[in-house]
Amino acid sequence: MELFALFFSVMIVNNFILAKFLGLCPFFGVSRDLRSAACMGLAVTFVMTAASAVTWAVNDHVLKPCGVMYLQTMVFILVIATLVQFVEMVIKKVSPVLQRVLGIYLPLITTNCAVLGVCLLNIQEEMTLAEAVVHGFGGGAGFALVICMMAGIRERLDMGRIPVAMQGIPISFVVGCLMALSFLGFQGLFAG
Amino acid sequence: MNVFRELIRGIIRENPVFRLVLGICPTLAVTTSLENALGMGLASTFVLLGSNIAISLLRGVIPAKIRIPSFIVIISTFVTIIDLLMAAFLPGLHDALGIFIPLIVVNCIIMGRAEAFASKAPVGPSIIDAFGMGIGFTLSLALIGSVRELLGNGTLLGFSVPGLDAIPVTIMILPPGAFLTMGLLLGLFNYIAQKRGH
Amino acid sequence: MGVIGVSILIVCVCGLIAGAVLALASRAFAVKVDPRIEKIEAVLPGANCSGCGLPSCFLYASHIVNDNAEPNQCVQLREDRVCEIGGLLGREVTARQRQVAAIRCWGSPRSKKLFIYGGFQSCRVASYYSSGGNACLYNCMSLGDCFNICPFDAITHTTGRIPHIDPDVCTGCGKCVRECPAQIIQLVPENARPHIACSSRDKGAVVSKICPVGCISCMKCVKTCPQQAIAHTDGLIEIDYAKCNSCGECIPVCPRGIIVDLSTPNAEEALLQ
Repeated sequence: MELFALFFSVMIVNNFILAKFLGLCPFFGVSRDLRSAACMGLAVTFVMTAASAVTWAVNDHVLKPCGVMYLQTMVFILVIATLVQFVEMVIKKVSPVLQRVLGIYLPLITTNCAVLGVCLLNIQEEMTLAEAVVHGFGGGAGFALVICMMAGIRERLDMGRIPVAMQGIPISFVVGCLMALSFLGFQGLFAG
Repeated sequence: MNVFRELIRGIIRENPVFRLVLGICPTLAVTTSLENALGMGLASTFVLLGSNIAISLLRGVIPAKIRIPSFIVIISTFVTIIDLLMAAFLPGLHDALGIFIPLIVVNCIIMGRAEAFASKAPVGPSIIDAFGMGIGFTLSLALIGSVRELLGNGTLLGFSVPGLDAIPVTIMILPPGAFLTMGLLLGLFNYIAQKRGH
Repeated sequence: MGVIGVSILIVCVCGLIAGAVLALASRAFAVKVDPRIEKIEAVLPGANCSGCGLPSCFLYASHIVNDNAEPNQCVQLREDRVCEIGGLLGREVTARQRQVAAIRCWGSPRSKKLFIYGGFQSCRVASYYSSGGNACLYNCMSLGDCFNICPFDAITHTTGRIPHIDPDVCTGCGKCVRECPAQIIQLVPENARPHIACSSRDKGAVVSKICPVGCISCMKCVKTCPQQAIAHTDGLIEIDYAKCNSCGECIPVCPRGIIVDLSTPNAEEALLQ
């Protein structure tokens, strides 16, 4: 039950993009059409969940016992980069369909602040393994939700008459502002 | 003088935040006040400087195939250094910036400059490039931070501004305000760039 | 010294493990790519126009090698290139007949307007507003969606006039056919002469009121065709190009002049006089 509340609170109330500002580069870079946005969301959810689990395990079994918590940044980013490359190879071999869908997005996710961010947050908020995995999954789901919403809006945005200086990224930021404003309404849900 | 032009390039023509639109995550997250913005900007400049110098010095030694992981290791070293320094000497700022200090390692600006510039240029130009980009980044953050703090809190660097502190627009400190400020400033700079014919 | 040693040791061990995992994985999960796919892909034009039905030339090349698909599905390949692919595969292949696109409404500048459409200048958007303000629901809105989508610049367009498709440049990839919201672009064989330039499914009495060059379903062409290639289905007159031999007997018969000769240059202008 608590995990459920955690999942929804991460996905909607403390949305990674609109409330925590993590994962903004792909949010504005990949959200031009709905199809690629959905694929990116799927890939990010997958990587965030897997990375949460693996980095939690590494932190618990290697970094804590040796008392080298300050190596977190370096070790985590190495683990994430290795994990993503490993997953890429497995997908290429096992499922060409999945490769066609997720293929080009996986390398982009390695330097995504959302992935490293969620791993560090898991440790900072002293979560258990189950909580960490749910946190990662919920964060990814929230990311996917918002990036698809943005893609849907941007597809229709071209039909409006936007001043030339605001076309492209600036108007997307304003759209993001309105989305963040509406998501503010969820504050207080699942409190505690 | 060439040095001056390179510095100005990083600040104006190739400003990482407003022209290249890189490193948006820390930009929006920490600019709730001018102090935080300056802190983040200077920390990133330190990391950028350190990593540019190190990568430029090692550019002959690192094999091409594993250059990205090597860059990541070098950059994360400097990030860890600045993280520990700030935790020790500037605990207030360290707590305010939170996880965005370790997240400097995935800041696209630093990785981008390492890949595009420092791995191919000698130490001197790398240092100048790092300074240019770093100062440009800091100034951009400072601009957004001051706008948000002035309008959202009525203060600047903690000092009350008479008139503005009576009617704070709290939304400016919250996420929507960040997106709005960024969008409008980007539009403004796009307009200026257009007018100058870029 | 101990702290420094432990840190260095841990980072080194992590790096070594990561490297080992990746090296092993790259060998265990290696994917073999058939070298013929790359060679065939080099012969294909590389425009990714999806004329063959697949989204990219690489996928089509894989389709040819892995699923034994016919190499003549690529709309841009001339005979010699198709045979080159056949040579790489070690079998005989025949080229397909080239098709070109033709718009099936040449009369919309002369048809009756209900209102002037001043909205976003796109056919797709205009189609939501009563076909762009025209009394005929099957008209060409002439706002240039086909012109925008053509990857080969075969279509020229001025607002208010029917777009002109250059049959020498058109490859028959079919992108404009799919893009047109009124679905009035048709692929016809390369050297076909007769083309019915009206897509109206309305009854003759209705058409005669709203368009001076619209098809009134008088059936003269159906009766005249010696090959019986013209048929009237679902209110629409269609030429079956499998049967048509371009004899051209139907062209002068039409009382409205809406069966046009594609081999005449600037045929659209002649119609609009």
